[in-house]
Amino acid sequence: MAGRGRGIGAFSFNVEALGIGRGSMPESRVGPNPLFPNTDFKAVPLKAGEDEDYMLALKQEMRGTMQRLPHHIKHLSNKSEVERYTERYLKQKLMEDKDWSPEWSLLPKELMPQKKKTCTKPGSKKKTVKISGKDAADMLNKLDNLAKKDEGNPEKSDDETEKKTGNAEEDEEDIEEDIEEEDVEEENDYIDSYFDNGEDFAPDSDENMDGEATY
Amino acid sequence: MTAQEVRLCGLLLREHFGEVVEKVGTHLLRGGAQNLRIIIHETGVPLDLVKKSLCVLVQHGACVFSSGRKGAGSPTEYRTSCDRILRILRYPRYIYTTKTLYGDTGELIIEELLQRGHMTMSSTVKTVADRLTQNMEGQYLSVCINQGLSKLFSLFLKVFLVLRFLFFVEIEYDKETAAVLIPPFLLEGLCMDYGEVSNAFSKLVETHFLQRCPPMVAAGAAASAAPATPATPGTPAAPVSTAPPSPESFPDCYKVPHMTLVGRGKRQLCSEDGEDQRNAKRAKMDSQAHGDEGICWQVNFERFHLHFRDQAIISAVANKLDQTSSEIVRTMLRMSEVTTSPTATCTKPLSANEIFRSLPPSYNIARPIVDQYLTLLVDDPMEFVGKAGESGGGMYVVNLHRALANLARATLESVVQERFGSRSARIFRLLLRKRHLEQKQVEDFAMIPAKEAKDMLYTLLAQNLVQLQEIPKTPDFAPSRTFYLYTVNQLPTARMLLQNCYKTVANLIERRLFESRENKRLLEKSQRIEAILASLQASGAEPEQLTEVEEMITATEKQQLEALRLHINKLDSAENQVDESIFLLESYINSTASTS
Repeated sequence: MAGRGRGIGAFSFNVEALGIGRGSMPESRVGPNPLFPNTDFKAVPLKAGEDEDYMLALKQEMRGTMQRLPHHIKHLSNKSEVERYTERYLKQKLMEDKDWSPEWSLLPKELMPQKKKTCTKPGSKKKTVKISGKDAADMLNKLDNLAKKDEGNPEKSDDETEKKTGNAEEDEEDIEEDIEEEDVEEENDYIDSYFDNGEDFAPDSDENMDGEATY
Repeated sequence: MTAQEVRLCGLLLREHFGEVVEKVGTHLLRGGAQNLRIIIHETGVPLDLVKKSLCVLVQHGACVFSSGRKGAGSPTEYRTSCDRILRILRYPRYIYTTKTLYGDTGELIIEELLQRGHMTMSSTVKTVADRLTQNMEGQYLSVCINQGLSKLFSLFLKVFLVLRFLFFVEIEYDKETAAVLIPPFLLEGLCMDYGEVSNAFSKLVETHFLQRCPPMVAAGAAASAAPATPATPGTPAAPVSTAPPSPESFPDCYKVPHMTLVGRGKRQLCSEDGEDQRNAKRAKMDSQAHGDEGICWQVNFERFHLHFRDQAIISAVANKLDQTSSEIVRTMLRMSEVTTSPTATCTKPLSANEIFRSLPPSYNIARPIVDQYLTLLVDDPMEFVGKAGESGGGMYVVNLHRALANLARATLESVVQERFGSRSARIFRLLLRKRHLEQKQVEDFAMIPAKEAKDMLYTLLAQNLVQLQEIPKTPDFAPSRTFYLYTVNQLPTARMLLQNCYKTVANLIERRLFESRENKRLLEKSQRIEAILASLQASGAEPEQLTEVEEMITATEKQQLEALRLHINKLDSAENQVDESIFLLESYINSTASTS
């Protein structure tokens, strides 16, 4: 507008009518607020007394105890790392995960660790695995997976018998099973029915006729 | 959930439950109600860890689950709210309050329940009895020594000399710490009986500090009954209530179950492998059913909050008036504990005769003086006590909501005073009382020169503590023809300060974590050296070895450690004290929400 370009303090109406002079305006801003502005008034010191000290001690103790309880959950760490010396001391104080089993009657059923259904897929994989130089690494991977599955079993000793509560429940389980199966399968890029090293061609040809793709 | 609340909740979850639970928890806070698949998909955390985290959150009451929104048969949905997680800040205050009210036993019961979320009565009693028994040895000895050469000590010494003579028992006297070391078998009788702990537990339940966890009947029944009973088109299906049932809606909320639990606390003997195995076997055999399976107890936070509110009112009266008036108000509040509902605006009317009779006997005050005190309380501008009638010598009530509003107002005023000075605080108080004032009127009433008053007003306006209200004379809002009135709205300002408090606590926690991270190497080194020292002392080493190990930490490192400890203690203590302001502001805001 007319007053804009001609200097900062120009107003479009008569300023004196408001009763404020030109000099009594507050300073205009130069930029954003500083991140740590100066404080003219320092903060009041903290209360200090027996009560406060006791509550401080309580708080620190509680934090320490809760970090050692089994419901303090950590990410699964890579087991191949060498265990550091200090962690040995810390681990002695940790309570075992297996000691803790929550009150299952107050939790929804889907949160219980599931019993793994024995699917036919791992069985068929075992048949088609041929022991050779190339497959040794794959075999080791599979054994690790099966070992991990077996470790899950002691945890389920707390399980109550599963009740089938409805189709939704089963769908959940199937979908979850699918997720797990997919994870296991993707571990290994080689789909064994395609691998043909010619050794066992003759004896297994009858079994694998359905499995092998036509190429 | 504001951004500050979510950030603070995330930090609290991380500190107490680990990073996995933090990730799942903050995702639930930001995203509202979700089912299991969505949580797994969006957080990227593996399935079993998500399940464990949800179990932990539900056990601690931070998360509730219900059957899905699309009706019965859809997967269960999980929902978290900030309030419960923010209570974690207040845990030390709860424990300390129980200690003042119910002693060490009550303190340990509440501490165990807060750490575990919810537990059955039998397991709580057992754990607490064990802990008390372990603490008892040290207490017994130190009590005797502290009494010096009193009768008790000399009697004690005589008994021991006799025992030593009769049983050839070695009793050592440690000159350094002045402690008499008694072999453990003589302390057999000093075990905490389960009965005492159960009594303390029952007392806590009677006064409603503990309550039962609501059983899962409603949610489970809705999910499992649906496929069983086909929904006929005529009858409406049972309403799937999205609100979780509150614990108070169940009639058995405060009933102590009949429990067979006889025994005493176990002391932890010096660790030898054989004994450990024996103890382990004994523990397995002891896990029989005690008749209260499935009944879990949790801490009733609302009851604690009512107690804190009463304490705040009493201390405010003591500060403003005097000790006797605060005693009168304390008596009135105590008499109306049971009859007042948690959301009541004021207590039930009490007659002056009743109050006089219920005063503690140590206060020998004559009846007319009590009347005078009551009149003083009623006339006080704080309006803590009001008069509700004339029968029975005068009927008096405690105005709870008004008291909370006044306490919140005092908090706001002190915040302005500490940040901007006493003259700005004067302007702020003026605006609170007079509601709307023009700039000229502010200068006149506050008796502050115009230029400074203007500066202060603009600063307060920039900080959003003061608002501007425009009243136009003409419809085009021309500045020369509009009234500009300054005003303070107490409720929105209180909300804003509450968010500032949350931000403050989050900053304090972050700073503390930063300090620990920076000095992680030093902390680990000191931990290791303490462990080495402890093991050396246990195996009996010479003092030279101990000093050699202690010298592994240099003097500068010791100074650094001291400074670090001081900083961390200060930051922790500050968190506790900011929580007191949070409590006041939250109570005020909740009280206005219930009445409006």
